[in-house]
Amino acid sequence: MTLRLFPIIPVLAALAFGCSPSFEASLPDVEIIQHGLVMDGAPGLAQPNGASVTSSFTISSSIAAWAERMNSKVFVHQVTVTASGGLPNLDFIESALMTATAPSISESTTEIANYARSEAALSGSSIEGTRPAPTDITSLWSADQVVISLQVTGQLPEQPWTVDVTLKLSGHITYEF
Amino acid sequence: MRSTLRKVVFLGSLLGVLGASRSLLGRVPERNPADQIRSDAGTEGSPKLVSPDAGAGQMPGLVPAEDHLSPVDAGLSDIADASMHADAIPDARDTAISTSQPQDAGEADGEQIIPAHAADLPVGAESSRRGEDMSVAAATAPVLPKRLPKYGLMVDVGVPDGLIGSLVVRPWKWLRFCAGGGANGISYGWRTGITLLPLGQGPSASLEYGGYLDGDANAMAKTIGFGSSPVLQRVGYQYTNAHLGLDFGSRRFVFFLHGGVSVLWGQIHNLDTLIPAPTASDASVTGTTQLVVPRDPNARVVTPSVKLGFVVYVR
Repeated sequence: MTLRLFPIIPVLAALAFGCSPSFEASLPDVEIIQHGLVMDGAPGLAQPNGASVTSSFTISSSIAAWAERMNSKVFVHQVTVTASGGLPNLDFIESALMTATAPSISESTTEIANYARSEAALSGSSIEGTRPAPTDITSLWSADQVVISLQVTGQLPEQPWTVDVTLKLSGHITYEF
Repeated sequence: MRSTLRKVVFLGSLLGVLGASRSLLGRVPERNPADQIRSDAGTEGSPKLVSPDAGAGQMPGLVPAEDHLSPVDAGLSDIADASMHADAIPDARDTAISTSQPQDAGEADGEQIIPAHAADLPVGAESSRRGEDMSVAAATAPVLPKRLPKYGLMVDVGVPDGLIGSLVVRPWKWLRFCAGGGANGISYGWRTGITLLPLGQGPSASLEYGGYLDGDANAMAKTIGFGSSPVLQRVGYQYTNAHLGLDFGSRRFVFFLHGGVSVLWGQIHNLDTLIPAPTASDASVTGTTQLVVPRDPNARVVTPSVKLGFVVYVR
């Protein structure tokens, strides 16, 4: 009986090793926090519709290096801008737009969050920008550098001011050997 | 005097004919073993029912009284006495197979046993003669299915199972349940599973589910040549196995080799210590950039797996 069963062993081995190992990881909640992003003041630019200033910061590829060679998916779910540097609130911001671009890949920009103050909005030290669906930034993520730009519009302070920007991301990594 | 001598010769001839006829027939009329035990009990020097455990060459039927036994047989007379009790009959049945079946016949499922009463033999017959007689009895005896031991202990080792010791229950020859615990060199865990053996032995299919508690894997990583990492400080996982395999043996001892696919899943802790913090190079940034992982990521690995082990059924 034993000898008759031995031919089955290669079949079992083929079944076992025919399955290529794979690895999947789901990162439901990752936050990148940029502290102290300086926004320019808008002296003498007071207009009925307010002024607009843009500031940006760059994220190097070091954060994405661990996922570059993997079949990863990266999404932006939410962006939060919080007053810092003694700024009491962000009530003066009427609207905000955050975009991301990877100059080494494409000049086109990807909108990752926007914000528009509603009339019923309460006073607060932070604003949250969202989109109807998470924004896929996978292609940007694999670039050497990603430039994140924040454009705000409103009755802005005349002096430079600072904010903290938090990007809430999620990711899914799949890797097959 | 002469008539007396004739009577003695006649009786001797009669006894000789009777003895020869019994030897030729090879057996006495069948009797209920319980009846035989009752009739034999307390009759010193009369034939006794002994356990066929009496060893190789000892027939599982009737043996002469102690004063006719060889030294080996004499030591078995205690067993014979014990078997006088009615509850000894099942034991006699169970052990009868050892002398009436080929050696490997015990491995086959559905093997048949010869009831003790079917092996009844003439009193005082010679050993060689008994063997022949028993063969005749075995050929004509009714057969009964032999019960497989149901409960056992299993030990196996493999990846990702680690070293597992389990209790095993085999309600039917084609089905086996197991549950137990073990270690993987990092922490302790548990596992439960079910194995199907369509033929009772040979090809098998198993499904198992287990898990390991969180443990520090840095020591193991160093052992196999990797460096330590905060990510390895808490390593635990759950897993399922879908295996095909071969199981050798079916009665008391089963050796198996299983292989297939395993799915492992768990959480990766301290990942933010592994991912380098992003750097901001713009002059407009006065602060720092921070990476935070508020919730531990979930990871899943699909990998080939293999394990080998054995089962010892105890009852």
